Amino acid sequence: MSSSPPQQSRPPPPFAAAPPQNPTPAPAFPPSSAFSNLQISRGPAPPPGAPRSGLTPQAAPPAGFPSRPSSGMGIAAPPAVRPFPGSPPAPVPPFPRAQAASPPFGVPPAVAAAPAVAMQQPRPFGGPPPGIGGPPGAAPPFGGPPGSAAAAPFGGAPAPMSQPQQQPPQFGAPPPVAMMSQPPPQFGVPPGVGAQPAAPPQFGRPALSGPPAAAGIGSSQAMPPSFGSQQQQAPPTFGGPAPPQFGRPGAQPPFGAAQAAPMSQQAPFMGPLRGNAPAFGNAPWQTQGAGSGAMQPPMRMPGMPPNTLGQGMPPTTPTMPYSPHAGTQVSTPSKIDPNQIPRPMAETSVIIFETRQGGQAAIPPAASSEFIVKDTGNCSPRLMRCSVNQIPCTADLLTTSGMPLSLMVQPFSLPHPSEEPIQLVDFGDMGPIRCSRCKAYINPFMRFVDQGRHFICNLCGHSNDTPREYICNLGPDGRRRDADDRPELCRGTVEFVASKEFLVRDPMPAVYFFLIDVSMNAVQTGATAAACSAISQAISDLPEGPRTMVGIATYDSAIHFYSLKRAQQQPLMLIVPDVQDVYTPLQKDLILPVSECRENLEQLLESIPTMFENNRVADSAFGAATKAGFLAMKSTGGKLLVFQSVLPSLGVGSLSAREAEGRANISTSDKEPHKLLQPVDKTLKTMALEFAEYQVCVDVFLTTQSYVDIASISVVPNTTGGRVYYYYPFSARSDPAKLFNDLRWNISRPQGFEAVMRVRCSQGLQVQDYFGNFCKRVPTDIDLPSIDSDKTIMVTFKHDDKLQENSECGFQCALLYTNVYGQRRIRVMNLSLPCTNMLSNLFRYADLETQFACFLKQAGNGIPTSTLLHIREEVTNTCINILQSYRKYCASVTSSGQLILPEALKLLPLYTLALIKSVGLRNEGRLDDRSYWISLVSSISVSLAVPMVFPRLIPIHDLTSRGDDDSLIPSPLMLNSENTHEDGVYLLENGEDGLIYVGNVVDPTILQQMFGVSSLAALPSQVVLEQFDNELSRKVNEVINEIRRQRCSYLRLRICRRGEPSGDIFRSYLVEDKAPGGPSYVEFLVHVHRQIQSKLT
Amino acid sequence: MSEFLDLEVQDGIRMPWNVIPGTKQDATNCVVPVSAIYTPLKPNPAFPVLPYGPLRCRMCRSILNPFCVVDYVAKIWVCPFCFQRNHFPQHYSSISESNLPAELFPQYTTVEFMSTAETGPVAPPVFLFVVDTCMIEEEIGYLKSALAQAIELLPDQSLVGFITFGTYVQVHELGFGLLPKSYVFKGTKEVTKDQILEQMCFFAGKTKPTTGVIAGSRDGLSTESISRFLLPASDCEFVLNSIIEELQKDPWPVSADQRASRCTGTALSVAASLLGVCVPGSGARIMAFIGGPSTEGPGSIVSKSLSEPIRSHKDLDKGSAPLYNKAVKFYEEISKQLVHQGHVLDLFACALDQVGVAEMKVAVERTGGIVVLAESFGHSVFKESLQRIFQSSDNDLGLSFNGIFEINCSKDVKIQGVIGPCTSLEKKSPLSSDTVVGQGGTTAWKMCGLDRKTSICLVFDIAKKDGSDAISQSTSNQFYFQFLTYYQHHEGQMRLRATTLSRRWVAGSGGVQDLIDGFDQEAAAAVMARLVSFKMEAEPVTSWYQSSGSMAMAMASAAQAFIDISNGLTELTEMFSDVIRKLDALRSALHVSPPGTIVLADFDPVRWLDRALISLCSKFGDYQKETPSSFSLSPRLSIFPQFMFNLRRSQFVQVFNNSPDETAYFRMMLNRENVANAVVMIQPSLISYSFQSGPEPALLDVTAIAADRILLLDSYFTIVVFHGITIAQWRKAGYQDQQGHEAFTQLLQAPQEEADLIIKERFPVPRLVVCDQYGSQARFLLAKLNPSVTYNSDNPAPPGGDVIFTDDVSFQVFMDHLQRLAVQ
Repeated sequence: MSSSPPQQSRPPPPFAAAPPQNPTPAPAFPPSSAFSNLQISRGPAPPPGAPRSGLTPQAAPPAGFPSRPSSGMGIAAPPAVRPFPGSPPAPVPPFPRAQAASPPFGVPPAVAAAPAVAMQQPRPFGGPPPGIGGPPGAAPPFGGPPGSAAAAPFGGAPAPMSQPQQQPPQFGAPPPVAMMSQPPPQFGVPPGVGAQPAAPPQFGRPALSGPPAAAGIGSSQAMPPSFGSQQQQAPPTFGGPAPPQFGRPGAQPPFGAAQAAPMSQQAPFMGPLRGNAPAFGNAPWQTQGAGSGAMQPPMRMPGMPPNTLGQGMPPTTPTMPYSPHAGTQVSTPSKIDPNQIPRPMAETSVIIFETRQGGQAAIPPAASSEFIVKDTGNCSPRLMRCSVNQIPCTADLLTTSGMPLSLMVQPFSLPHPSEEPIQLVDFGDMGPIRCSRCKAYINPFMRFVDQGRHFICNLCGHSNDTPREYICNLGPDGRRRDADDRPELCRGTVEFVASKEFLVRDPMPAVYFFLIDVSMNAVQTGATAAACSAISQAISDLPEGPRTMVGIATYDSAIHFYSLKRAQQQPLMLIVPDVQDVYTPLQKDLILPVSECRENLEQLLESIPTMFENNRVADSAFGAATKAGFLAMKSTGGKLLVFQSVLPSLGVGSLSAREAEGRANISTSDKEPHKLLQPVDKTLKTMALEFAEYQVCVDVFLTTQSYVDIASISVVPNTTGGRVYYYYPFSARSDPAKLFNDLRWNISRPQGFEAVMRVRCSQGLQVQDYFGNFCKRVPTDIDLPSIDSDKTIMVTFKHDDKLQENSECGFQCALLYTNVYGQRRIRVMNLSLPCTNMLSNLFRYADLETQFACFLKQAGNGIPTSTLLHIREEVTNTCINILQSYRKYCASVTSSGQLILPEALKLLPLYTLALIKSVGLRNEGRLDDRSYWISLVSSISVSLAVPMVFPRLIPIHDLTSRGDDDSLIPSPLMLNSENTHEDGVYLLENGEDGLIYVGNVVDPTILQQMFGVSSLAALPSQVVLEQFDNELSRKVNEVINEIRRQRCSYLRLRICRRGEPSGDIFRSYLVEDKAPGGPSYVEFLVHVHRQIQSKLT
Repeated sequence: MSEFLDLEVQDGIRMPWNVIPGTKQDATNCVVPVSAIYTPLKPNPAFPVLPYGPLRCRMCRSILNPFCVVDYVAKIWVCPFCFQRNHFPQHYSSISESNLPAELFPQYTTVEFMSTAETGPVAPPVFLFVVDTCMIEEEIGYLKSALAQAIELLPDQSLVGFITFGTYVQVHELGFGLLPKSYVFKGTKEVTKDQILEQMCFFAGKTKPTTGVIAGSRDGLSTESISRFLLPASDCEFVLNSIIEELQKDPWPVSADQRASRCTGTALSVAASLLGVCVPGSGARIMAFIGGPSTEGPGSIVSKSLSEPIRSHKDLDKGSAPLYNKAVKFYEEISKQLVHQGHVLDLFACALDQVGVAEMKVAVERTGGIVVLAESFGHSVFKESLQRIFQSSDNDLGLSFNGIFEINCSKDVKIQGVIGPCTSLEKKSPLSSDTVVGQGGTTAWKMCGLDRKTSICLVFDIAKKDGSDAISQSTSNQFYFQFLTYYQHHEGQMRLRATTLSRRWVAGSGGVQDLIDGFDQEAAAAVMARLVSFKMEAEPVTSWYQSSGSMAMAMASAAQAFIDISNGLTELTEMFSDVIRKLDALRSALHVSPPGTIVLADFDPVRWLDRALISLCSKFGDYQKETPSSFSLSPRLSIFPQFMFNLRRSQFVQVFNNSPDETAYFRMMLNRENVANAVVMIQPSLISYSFQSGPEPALLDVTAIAADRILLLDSYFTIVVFHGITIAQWRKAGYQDQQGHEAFTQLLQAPQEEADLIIKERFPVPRLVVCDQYGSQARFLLAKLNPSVTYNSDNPAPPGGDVIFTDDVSFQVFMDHLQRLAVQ
């Protein structure tokens, strides 16, 4: 990578020019331009943008109508508006995004047509059969229109045809913006005027950033454009330095003038550089890495006020003295300017990322940014990314760096709609070609020798005979002549059709079994009704095929099965009263093809709440019911969706109110409270292992108002590849909508069944362990009864030998699974990264978000077995060790008084601080909240890991006055209380919850417009966000819907007000503030610095 | 004879000895025990029903009766049993010689008391249907229609519950309106009453009381929770009909080499517990409809693999029916539970193969249940029997519930026990003998279910020893008996029927003629039949030796068998069939099945009967010693040997032609029927129809067969209409439809009409076989006839007659031997 930067500079300019000015440039572009071309030649770059912009608006609407884009346009609007099921009045548009998008750019019809053409290419999931693509993608996370249309939101999955539509949604509004913005930058590389205008509007957030570079204010604005350009230009590698990351804060005068200088420097490079590579240093830095102080400037935080460039660190020293104690902040203000410390920077423009360039692995863009991947040999970073992008040759080197070596694998992550689908390769009966020794699958890094008669495995080095049918001559470059025609030889990710040897049995059908708690509390709180209604709506979107099967049961102190196979007759209710020794009342007819029982099922779901209206049974046999559900689907496997509302008090796996006991214990003697975060016993674990063995995946929806012992319950989903959904305290008013959307996304997102996954790596490394939601029976493989687009598995490695410098280290993840259509596939993802002996390279190529996700998961993993205090210390120490290592070995030249942060990891302290203050690690909080947090973290993806602890805070009271900024979402604010004013309304979201903070002196008209209430007092704490007929309300809804789309999560909205507990919750997320639970950001930096210094001396 | 019938009409009782041998020794010598067959609910419009409660003796709790000595002046009565003097209470103050309460009328030795004041209202009867679903569709279809009909006939106020079972047990919640709803229990696991209480939500919303009995609405359960499962028939007709309508074959798959998995035992246990929870102590019957053997869970009788046949008598004898004893034990437990709760188990077993009646017998019999055995649910035996249960007509069964039967008698008489459909309440008293027969060791029995024909056989012991005190007591040479039956009348109220009787006793050798005069040979035959059946079941017919395969033991046993055989030859038991049985035993002894298990007969019913008959004839016959030809019997005794001859050949003794289920069924019927019917079972009646004469009884002999006769055989379980060959030919030629042959038409109809009459009265409905001479079905007749003409007889059959292919001895041979042995 590093070498490449210079070259790239050229491409960007050409394209950029055109689009920038016109807001509606899209139409102008040739819609059909192939995306693939883009990256390589700059020429193509613009087109992509264009199509998108064009598409987006339209696409969104069409979501519902995959095949005919043109018509879709017109229609689009209505479907989009479709209210969420759960929320009665609220006309929440399903794909707000889409809507929003469309209006702005009135795409001419012509354009729309264009997309249609393009569509075919993009198949996201690209299964061979047309049908395939559809399913996975299909499900829009939130109540979009049914059917394939649904897919739109996430765009990735849907069938090939639908893609065009998808695209639009995904890119949604933003892309277009990006486009425009980009151009300017490119041209205007210089911070020139042109750039400025473009930038601000486009990126809602102040792109600012250029932390390193951008000095002046004016410059800052200019910067953004530059990024934009970068992104598109991506190819140019040189990655602008970390710009993106700094982003947000950038708006403010982060690094002062000094930075300006760098800016200018970069400017030249930047354009060309890989725009996306936010995290990594740019060329300049590299050099620094070597030791030059110059590089570091951006990062140093502490001391340096606005003043000097990074280089001029001297000021640092001062910090030390003051910082240590609480008073620091106050005392140090003069020394540390809170405005200059590193903060994440917004990144809105779309980057095009080629996974390998010039025969080398490219550095992936930040996980949180929007980018389009072009698979040129390595797999997409969405699928698999490594904590360091160059692999240390020795264990010592890795240890010295203090960084983790791990891979985050998200095999079904949603692709960008513009990305090419993963190609399918069918080797027929022969099955995929594999290394005979290590069984690695054929991949682009296997080297063919001897006129192609042999190939050498890139993982184990074994020389294999090429099967006769597969022999092909080599070209002069030593590659097979057919390499570019064979996806398995030129793509980082391919899917193989599984041959017979991979089939133990016929691929299983897609089975969904619903289990609903109907005990007294569940019924009375409305949870039962909510679950029934959610299921009823969700199944209406299930594909009709004979392979989609459903079943349902309810339970209280007994389990009630329903036999739906009764043509015209009512379903038959069969009760299994024995909750100690569970069984199913029938062998068949409990699970039926959805086409055979849809009506019966819907009717039943409608009557269940009435049927149990007067239920007086307070007990709930969760464990037994789950077991019974499992037995019903034992022969096929499938998904078991359990809606539980109270603490399981009866039957197998019953639990006790440990929380209360725990409290009692704490008051008397603080003996190991973390034990309460461990499962109470092994019963559920044993059950879960059995479930997993029979390919049953359990998802648990906890619609509760009390303690339910998530620590114990979560074992089941965590072991079977499912997850816990938690609605606490459940509100029949506001939660049904989320419940429905969660459920719908759950069953409609891209997913695979009965999966087995193994990661292989080059000799010299070995897999140490896997983390995530799965079941592991043998050390090498993990079993995933179900794997979906939201699940990430962390794989850690350790050295068992040295790696050769200048060689590449290969990773191959193979996932054998059955798709929704009952086809058995092997998805193989390859990543080949260079090895290095240079510590500085490790730091330069560190992937902050991946590393942070890794720390997050490890912390989550540790909580149940250790005290919180200890975990927090560990987390802090990890951070300190890394920084100290950098300080010691890579920046030793500078004075010890400076806190020097590696560019790539400059946000590590901030995130670490956020982690320490997170729900999982802070002292206060309910047990269940913490357990839920732990369970969530175990499978969280890289892109959601940071927001999880470091949420996004945006003002929403002034959305209407934002001018014509093109980005939907206003730029986030720093997470400190100075940014929230009592006359404003703010939304804080972490991908799971959405807290709407309403100031105490908010203008009533805002309240009226936004919530439909006339005064603060009338505002309920549980909100169903309705869309009222006014600009503000519409915008708020647009924003929230856009966030939902981004996060693939429907956010649990809550109103927070000062002086109420809800306000405290809100405050607890303002991680930069000093709080009882932890220091302020500045204080923390000081602390870190001190620690480093003490270690150094 | 007729006087015995009169006595029966008056009190519903028949006794072999109406003059009682007065001492223990005498009684023993009389061979046939002093006993009585009593029909507690025998209907008789002459029995007065008194609308008040009875007066009881202060001492022995016996009831005021016509045998009491009354002092009208002192207003005192003396109990004939304990001689206690009791004062009449206030409301009897107007008593005088001319103003007697009904219970003192001499002719009212049997009266009924019905006092609502004492008992209060009684819960309506409960019918809990337990229906097997492991059947072929066709059978299910038959069953459905039969059930649907039965449901319509249910009395409106009676409560109904419904359980189906196959692999699992389903308890249908009839009171749930929205959906068909049922609780499903695993067939392999027994369910206790507590589990039922807990698992079926009887405490929904309430906490379960920690102590005390919880059952029924009186003891802690809400009527609401009970009425989910047991509803008035009129309220749940619709639900019930739709459930029946939708009855389907058990959905669990059965592979071709397997039997359906059927958890009869668990289903019955669930049913019993459900009733125990909901309506303990009030009348309820479990009506089980079973279409095959139980293969699953407790009480299963055979494994699922079809390669294993269902146990036969031989298996039982040899002990090679591994599940048998376990199953019997299980059903014993169920019977205990049911008896405790006062509930009845009825069994409707309809299958070509056995279903396990032999194992379930204990539960059915002890609770006084009805049993119907047929080949198919489509068979008239089943269909009509089921209807009869609910039909109200002259012949209705008068099903009553919750009976308690008590006995009082003079102190020289003790009660050994009862053979019949009841259970001992284990109420020991000086009256209960140490020797126990049947349900003994008590003076009170529970009769959970009883009807107007239910008859029990009481076996007495004469406790009085020879000696001086006999003379001192001779002031009264009467024995008194009082039978009290407290029961829930089918109309709902509780009633008490009291029968008091007195019999003269004689002692010493002088009384022989008196004894003969008082001998009721029919009753004696019935008693002997019950006794022999009971002994065959109770005293293991076989015993076992385990000798780890030692050949020596095997040989010893074989030798023993030989001895038995030779003895048999010298005795009357030389009958061929017996020889064959012996040979069987010998064979099995020699073959020494695997670990050298050998079987020897312990109790030989045939020999036991023979000895009894010989002794009786020796004692009461008229003969010169050692002169067989001089032997003669009084008319009072003359038919008895014939009864015994037929009893020896009957299904009760010769079980090897029948399956254990059939045998169990026959014996259950024998044990609950009155004397007349028992006699028909032992010795079928044969009526002949011909042009020459009207219907006339014919000798139960092969010689009764003639080409121009129609025979009507009533063997109780089967009614055979047998056309002589000529008649059959005429009928086939269609003469009966031709003019001028009305006489023939009538001749054909006459036996049919008679058969219909019998069928109408009988329960369970007998099976009707219409057959022709030389036809295959004719075997039903031939099997019952005395084989006086066999294939190797010297005298050939007359033309048009028939020959029986058997080696059994004929009655003539039997009598010859009897005479020879009796005079020795």
